[in-house]
Amino acid sequence: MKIRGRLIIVLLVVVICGVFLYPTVKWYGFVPQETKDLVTGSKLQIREYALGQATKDLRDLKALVSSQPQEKLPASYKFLVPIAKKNYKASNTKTPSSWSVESVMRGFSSEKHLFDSIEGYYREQLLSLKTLSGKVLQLGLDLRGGMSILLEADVEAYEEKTGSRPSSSELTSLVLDDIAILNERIDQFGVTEPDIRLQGNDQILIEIPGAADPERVNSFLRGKGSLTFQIVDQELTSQLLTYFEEHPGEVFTDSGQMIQPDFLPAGRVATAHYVNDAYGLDELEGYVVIHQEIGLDGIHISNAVVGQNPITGQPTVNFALDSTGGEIFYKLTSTHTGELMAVVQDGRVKAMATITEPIRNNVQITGFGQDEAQNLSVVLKTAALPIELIVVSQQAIGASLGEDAVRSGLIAIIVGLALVFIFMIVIYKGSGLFADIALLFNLVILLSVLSAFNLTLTLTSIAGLVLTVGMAVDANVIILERIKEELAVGKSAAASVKAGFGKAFWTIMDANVTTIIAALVLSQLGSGSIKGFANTLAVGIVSSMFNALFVVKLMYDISLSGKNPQLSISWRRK
Amino acid sequence: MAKKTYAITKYRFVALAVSILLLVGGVVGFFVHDGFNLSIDFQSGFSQRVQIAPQAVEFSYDGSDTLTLNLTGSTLSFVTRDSSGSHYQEFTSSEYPTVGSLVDAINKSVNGVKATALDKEVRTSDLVAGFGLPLTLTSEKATLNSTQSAHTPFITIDEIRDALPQHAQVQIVGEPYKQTFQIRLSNDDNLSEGELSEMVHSALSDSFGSGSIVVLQSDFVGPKYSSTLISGSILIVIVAIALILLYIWFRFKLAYALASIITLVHDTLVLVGFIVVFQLEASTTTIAAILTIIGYTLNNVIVIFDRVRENKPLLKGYDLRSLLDTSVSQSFTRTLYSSLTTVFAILPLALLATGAIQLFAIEMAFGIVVGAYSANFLAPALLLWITKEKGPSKVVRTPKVEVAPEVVTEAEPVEQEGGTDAQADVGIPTIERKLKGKRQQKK
Repeated sequence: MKIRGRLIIVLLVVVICGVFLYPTVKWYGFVPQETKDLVTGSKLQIREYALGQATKDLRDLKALVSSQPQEKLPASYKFLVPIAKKNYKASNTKTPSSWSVESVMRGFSSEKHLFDSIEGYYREQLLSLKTLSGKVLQLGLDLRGGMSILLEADVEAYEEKTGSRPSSSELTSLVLDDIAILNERIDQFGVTEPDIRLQGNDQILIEIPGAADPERVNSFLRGKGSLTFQIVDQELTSQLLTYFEEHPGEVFTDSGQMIQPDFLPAGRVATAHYVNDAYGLDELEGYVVIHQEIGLDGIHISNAVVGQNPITGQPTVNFALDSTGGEIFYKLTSTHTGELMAVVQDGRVKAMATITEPIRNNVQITGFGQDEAQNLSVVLKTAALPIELIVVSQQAIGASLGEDAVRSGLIAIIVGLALVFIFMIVIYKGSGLFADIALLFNLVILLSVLSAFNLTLTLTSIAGLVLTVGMAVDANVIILERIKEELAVGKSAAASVKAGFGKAFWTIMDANVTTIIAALVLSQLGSGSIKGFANTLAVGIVSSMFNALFVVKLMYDISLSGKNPQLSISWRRK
Repeated sequence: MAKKTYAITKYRFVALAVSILLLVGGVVGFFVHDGFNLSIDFQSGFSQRVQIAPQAVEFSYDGSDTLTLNLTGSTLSFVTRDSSGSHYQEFTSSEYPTVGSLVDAINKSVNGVKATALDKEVRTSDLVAGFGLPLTLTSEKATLNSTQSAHTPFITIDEIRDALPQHAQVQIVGEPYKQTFQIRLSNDDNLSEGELSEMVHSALSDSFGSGSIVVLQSDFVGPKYSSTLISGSILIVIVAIALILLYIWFRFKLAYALASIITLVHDTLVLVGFIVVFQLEASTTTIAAILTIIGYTLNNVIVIFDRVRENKPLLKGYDLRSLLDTSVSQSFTRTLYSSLTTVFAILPLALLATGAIQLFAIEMAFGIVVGAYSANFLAPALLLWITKEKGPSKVVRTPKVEVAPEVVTEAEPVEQEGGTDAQADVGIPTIERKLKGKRQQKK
C-alpha cells in the first residue's frame, strides 16, 4: 500500500479515537462539579430541580415583565427566544425584530405553556448530560468509592413458601421482577443513583457509586414502598384542574412538592397523577383529588399478573386479594360503585379505574397499554419482592481510599512509562523514539476503546494498563532486534527495515495470540474485577500489535523515503 | 554485528536442578505454612479496612433546605438545594490549611451550618472520608475525622488484636502512625454482613472510643460465592492452558507444544510456590497474575521456538543442540529487553500501590523473572529431551559447535550472562532466506 493510503488509515484511527474520547474529555474537563453532582443524582432529583427552577424562573419573569416590559431579555432566559419564535410563526403573527421581556412572553399562549417550556429546557439540559455521563470512561467503584452488592435469589425460601422449585427460566423472570421493583425504589434512595442489573440468571448486581454506606443500602433492599387504593373525588378534581389552569405557577413549591390549595376540605388531598415518561420514570399526567382515607392497603394483595381481555384483546391487570383484603374491598366497592378508584404508590397516583360493580377477591383493571399494564402489575407487587434475595458478596470502599488508589495508580503508570521511554531511547535511539510514540498512541487507542465499549476503569484495569505498557514495547523490541541483525549482514537501511518487519511478523503474531487467548478466557469466565483487567489487556495487545506492525512501519517508511535516508537504531553505530 | 552463541543446552541439567529446587521449595512452603493464605474471595468471610482517627470537626445544620456535605481529596463541598435550584460551595485545603480556618470560613459563608473544630490545629488535608459520605446534614451532629500527625503516640497492631475476637487477623496498612488496619474474619457461624461489621465496630469502639473508628473499606463474601469462585478459577486456568496448547500445536509441532506447556506449568507452579512461601494473600487477582504469567511465559517461549523453526531449514548441518543454542542466543537480547521493560512498567506499581494490586505487581515481577529464566534454559532443554525421545535417529550428536563462516562485521559485545567460558563465536546464519516471512507449517 502507498504511504499516503496508510497515513489516511492512521489518521482515521486518530479521528475515531477522538470521537470516542470526546464525551470523556468533555465530562471530566468541562462540566462543573456542581452540575455533575446533580446529573449523577436520581432522575427524581433532576425532576425536582427542573420543576423548582421553572417555578422560580416563571416568578422572576413575571416580576420582570410587570416592572420593565421593554427591557432586553436577560441572557439567562435566552433559551426562550427560539421557542417563542416558533410559537409566533405557528400563530402566524409577525415575529418581533428585537426580543424584549414582553415580546418573548407574548410568544407563549399561557403561563402554563411558558412554565412547561422552561421546565422542558432544564430537563433536556440535564438529561442530555446524563446521557453523556453514560458514555464517558467511568471510574470503577474501587477508584471513586462506593458499594457493590451481589445478591442471589433465595431458591430454598421460595420453595418453602410456594411448594415448588422454580425452573431456570422462571427463576430469571422472578429475579427480573425483583430488579424492576428495586428500580422502582431507586428514587427513595437519595443522593446517588444505583445501577442495578442481572448477572447470570439468578443474581443481581447493585453498584452505588460515591456513597459507601451499608446502612442506607440495607434499608433500600428492605424497601418501604407503600401502595394503597383510594377513592377519587371527581368534583373537587375538576375544580382543582381549573384552579391550576389559572395558576400554573402555584402547583409546586420551589422544592418540587405539591401545593395543597385552600379550597380543599379536610380529608381530601390533591395528588399528582404520574405515568412513565420522558425522565424514564413517572411523568406528571394530571392532578387528582383523592380521599385521604385509605380504601385498601396494598399489603392485602397476594398476587398480580398481566392478562388479556379475551374479547377486546386489551391488556388487563388481574390481582388477587387475601380474605381480609377481599372483605374490605367488597365494602369499599359496593359503597362507591360508579366512582373512580386510584392506585396510589408512595403518595402518587399511578393508575385510575372506574368501579363497575362490587368486587371481592379477584380484581381486574383495564384501560392500559401493554407496558403500562406490565408496570402496574409490578407496582401492585412492589409490596414484597417476588423472590427473596440473599447477599452473596458485598464490597464498600470509602472515597478517600479510592482517591489514594487513583493517585498511586497514576504515579505508577507515569513512572513506569517514563522508565520504559528512557530505556527504549537509550537502547535504540531514534527507533526507540518511534516505539515510544507508538506506545503513547497505544494508550490513547486503549482508553478510547475502553470508553467506546463503556468499560469501567478499575484498579485491576490500571494494572492491565501498566502491564500493557510493558508488553507493548515487546513487539517493537522483536522488530528492532531483527532490523539490527539485517543491518549487521550489510543490507541497506530500507531493505533491513523491510526484512526485519517481514520476519518479525509471525513471531509477533504467535507470541501475542497466546496472550490474547489467556486474556479472553479471563474476560469470559472471570468475575468482575478480573474482567476489567482482562479486557484492558486484550485490547492493549491488539492495539499494540497494530501500532508495532502498522504505525511504526509507516514511520519508518516515511523517514526512509527521503533522499538521504538515515536509520537511527543504536547509539553505537552511525 | 555478530552475536555470541551461548551453549545454553549445556546447562540443561543445572536448569533441571534449579527448577526442581524451586518446586520443592514451594511444596515445603505449602506444608510448613499449612496451605495458602486465602483471601475472603476463596474463603467466605469478612474483611474491613479501618482507621483509628480522632474526631476533628463537627457539623450541624438547622436550615430548611437540603444540604449535603462531601469530602473529595482534601476539598470539602456543600450542596444546598433550595428555591434557587442547587448551590455549590467548596473549601479547599490550599485555601484553608487548618481545620480552624476552615471552620471559620464555613460558619461565615454556608447558611445554617454550624461547624465546630475539635482540634483547630489539624490540617485540612488530613481529613478522612470514610463511609457515609456524601452526607445529608441535619440538626443532629455529624463529625469528620482526621488522620493524626506523625508525632502523637499511636495504637499498635497488638492492641487492635487484643480488642478483636480471637480468630480475627490484623495487618497494618501503610505507615503505622496512620493507624490503618486491615481486619479479616472468617465467617464460621454463617453471620450476615451486618452482624459481622457490627461485631468489629463494637469491639473497636469499646477499646478506642466509638467516634474515632473510620471504616474505609468493607468486603463481605458469602459461602456460596467463594465455592463457585474456586471451581471457576480452576476452570479458567485449565481452559486457558488447553486453548493455548491447541494453538501452538496448530502453529508448531506437538513436541514444541508439549515443551511450552511443561514450561508454563513449571512457571505457574513456581509462582504458586512463591505465593505460598511468602504467604501472599491469594485472591482473584492472584488468578489474574497467574494467567498473565502463563501468557507472558508463552510469549517468550514462542519467540524462541519460532526462531528454532525458522533456523531449522537454514542451518542444515546443525544438530538439534547447536540449533537450539543458536536460536536461544539470537533471541536472547529480545527476551532480556522485553522482560526488562515489563519489569520497569510493573515495578512502580509494586512499590506504590497497596493491597491486592501491590501483590499482583509483586507476583508479576517475580513471574517475569522466572519466565525469562525458564524460556531461555528450561524450554530448550525440554524440547531437546522430548524430541530425542521421539526420534533419536534424526539427531546427529556432534558435540562441537560448528562455525558458520559467514560475513562477520564489527563485533558487538553483548552483555555476558553467566557461562562465559562456554561461548563459541558463531556468526548469525545469514543465508539469504528464501522463506521471506512465510513459515513452514507443521508437516
